[in-house]
Amino acid sequence: MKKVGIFSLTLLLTMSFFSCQKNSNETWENVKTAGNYLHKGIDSLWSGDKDSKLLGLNSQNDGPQEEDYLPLEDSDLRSQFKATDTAIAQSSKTAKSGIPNYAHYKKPSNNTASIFKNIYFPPDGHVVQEKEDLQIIADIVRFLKKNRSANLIIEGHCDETMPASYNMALGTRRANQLRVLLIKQGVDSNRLFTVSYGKEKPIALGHTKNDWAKNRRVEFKLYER
Amino acid sequence: MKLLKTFLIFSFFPLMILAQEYDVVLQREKILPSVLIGSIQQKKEEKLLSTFLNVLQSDIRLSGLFHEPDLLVVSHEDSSKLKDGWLQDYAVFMKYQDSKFFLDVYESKNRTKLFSLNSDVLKTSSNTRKIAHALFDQMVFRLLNKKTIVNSRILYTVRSKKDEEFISEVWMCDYDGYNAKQLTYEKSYGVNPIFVPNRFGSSHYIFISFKNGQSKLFLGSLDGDKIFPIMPLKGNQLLPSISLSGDKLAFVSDASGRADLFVQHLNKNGVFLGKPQQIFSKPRSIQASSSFAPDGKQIVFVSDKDGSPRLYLMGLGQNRASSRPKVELISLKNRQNGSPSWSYDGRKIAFVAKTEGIYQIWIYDLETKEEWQLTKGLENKENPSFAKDSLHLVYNTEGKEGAKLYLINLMDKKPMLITKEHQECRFPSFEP
Repeated sequence: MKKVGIFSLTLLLTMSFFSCQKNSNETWENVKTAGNYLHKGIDSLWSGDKDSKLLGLNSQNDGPQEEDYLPLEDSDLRSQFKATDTAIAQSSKTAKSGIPNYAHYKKPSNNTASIFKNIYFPPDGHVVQEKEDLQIIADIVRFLKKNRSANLIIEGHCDETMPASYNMALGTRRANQLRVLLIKQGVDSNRLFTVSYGKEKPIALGHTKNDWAKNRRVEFKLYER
Repeated sequence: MKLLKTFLIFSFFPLMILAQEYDVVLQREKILPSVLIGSIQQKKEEKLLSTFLNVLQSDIRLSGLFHEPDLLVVSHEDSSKLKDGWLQDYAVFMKYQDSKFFLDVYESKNRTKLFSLNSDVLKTSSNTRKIAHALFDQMVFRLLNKKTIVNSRILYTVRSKKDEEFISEVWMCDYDGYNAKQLTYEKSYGVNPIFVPNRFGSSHYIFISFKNGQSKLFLGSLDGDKIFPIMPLKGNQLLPSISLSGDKLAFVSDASGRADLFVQHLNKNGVFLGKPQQIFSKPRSIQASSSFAPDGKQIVFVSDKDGSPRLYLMGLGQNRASSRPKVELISLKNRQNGSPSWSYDGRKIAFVAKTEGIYQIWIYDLETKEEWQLTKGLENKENPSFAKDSLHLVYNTEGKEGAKLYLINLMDKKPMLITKEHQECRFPSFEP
């Protein structure tokens, strides 16, 4: 009977080892998902995490004059998360015409190329963390504060590992993240425009991890009057 | 004996735990009717007949409604062979006379003639394909009481490089990839073209153009090359989808600083009703492509609000919601999902999901709430779009070999390459 007991224990240990075995990718995905749920839990404690409310066709369709769209009614969407979610609404200055004089925006020239360097991101990431990237942002802020007539387009780009449609949204997130960082350091939001090209305009045309790393980037286009 | 039983139980138990889960799929191959296409050679009109036969054969093959057709073309002297032992369910005999094509359709078993069809007068040989499609459509309707997709067109984009810059123009082709026609000549970047439903009595499409710097919704005509921005909303506009009745246009915008889902209501003439409405937003998340249910009462969209991009269903109320709408997660099997397309019968949603490292097309069955994998193979698949028969899908591949368009039907699951010339064909969308 003792032998059966030892045998059963060995089997149970084997089972628990194999059933928990996962590769590193799966573990990472789980950590990410768990992290998001953790945030969700904290948000709920903070001020109640609510799903968005719907608006429909009625007299409220025209909405407030100051907005060019009907925003969601979730008050929590505006008030909460200020500490962690950093969305800043786009400038309505160019709502009808898009970016003014788009043709005049150029890739930074020899003089400015050392300031407006590309910023790179981890897979599916959008947060600027590296010290040298934060230095680039500080240099850009300094330049824009010194050159008050300069406007900037912030282009978000992605690698080819995700679908084109999702990448369009991801590139938007990257570009807006950079825009927020510049605004928070005192750059006028009316001088900053974002655009996402997703994976449509890669700079590295290969299909290796190195190529993908080069393509997950934010680029800058500058317009100086 | 007791010891033996215990030993057996403990021996098999780990195997049960460790064994991989296999889906046992019982092959339920639908019994499809078979067709013989017969014709007598007409040397004067050889090219014309050859084109017609090729189109008819291709339509039968792509329809998913018949077995691979058999073709029998005989000389005048051997014309009696056409009447020899028909093994197929139907025999279709074709001839060209007085500038018209004729089809005689027989039921093989009883050798009875079911019906005859004839085309309009062929004015130019370039119309041969159109006439063959039309006769096939009529034939299927008479035989099976079903509508085909032979008259549906596909919008897509072609990416190329000009002066070291990528550009992408909008094109349109027939459902089988023929008659490709360029619609935009902007030398700019255009993506996500979709047809505007025909209820406005016009032939238009909406797409995203970057010609003014930021990505904006533009309207173009299928007959001309002029395009116009349509949405005076700040920021970027991306990933449009339109309801079948044409009363709602969904898109993603970063007007608020995040990539949120918006809906613009339209009146029966296609004019915007009021302002666009932000219908879904979530801090620290982005929303991506969407697709409307055929009745326009629900929308399926991509969001990474719970970690990785997944599909969510949301109801679209007609009045200001008094309670929170339920957002239902539907893609459970895979972590990375995208590009939903709702079928016209309302029963299925096609989408892409990363499956063992490769993006494949999956189908979500709204009745059984189950997901199943449609495509296989080593290339990534993107942007599935249902045809109006809810049986066919068009999608594009992406990879080292470029991007190509494929047509696939849900029954036989065999992808058919339909792009003929260009290397980078993407963002296909079927005509509703």
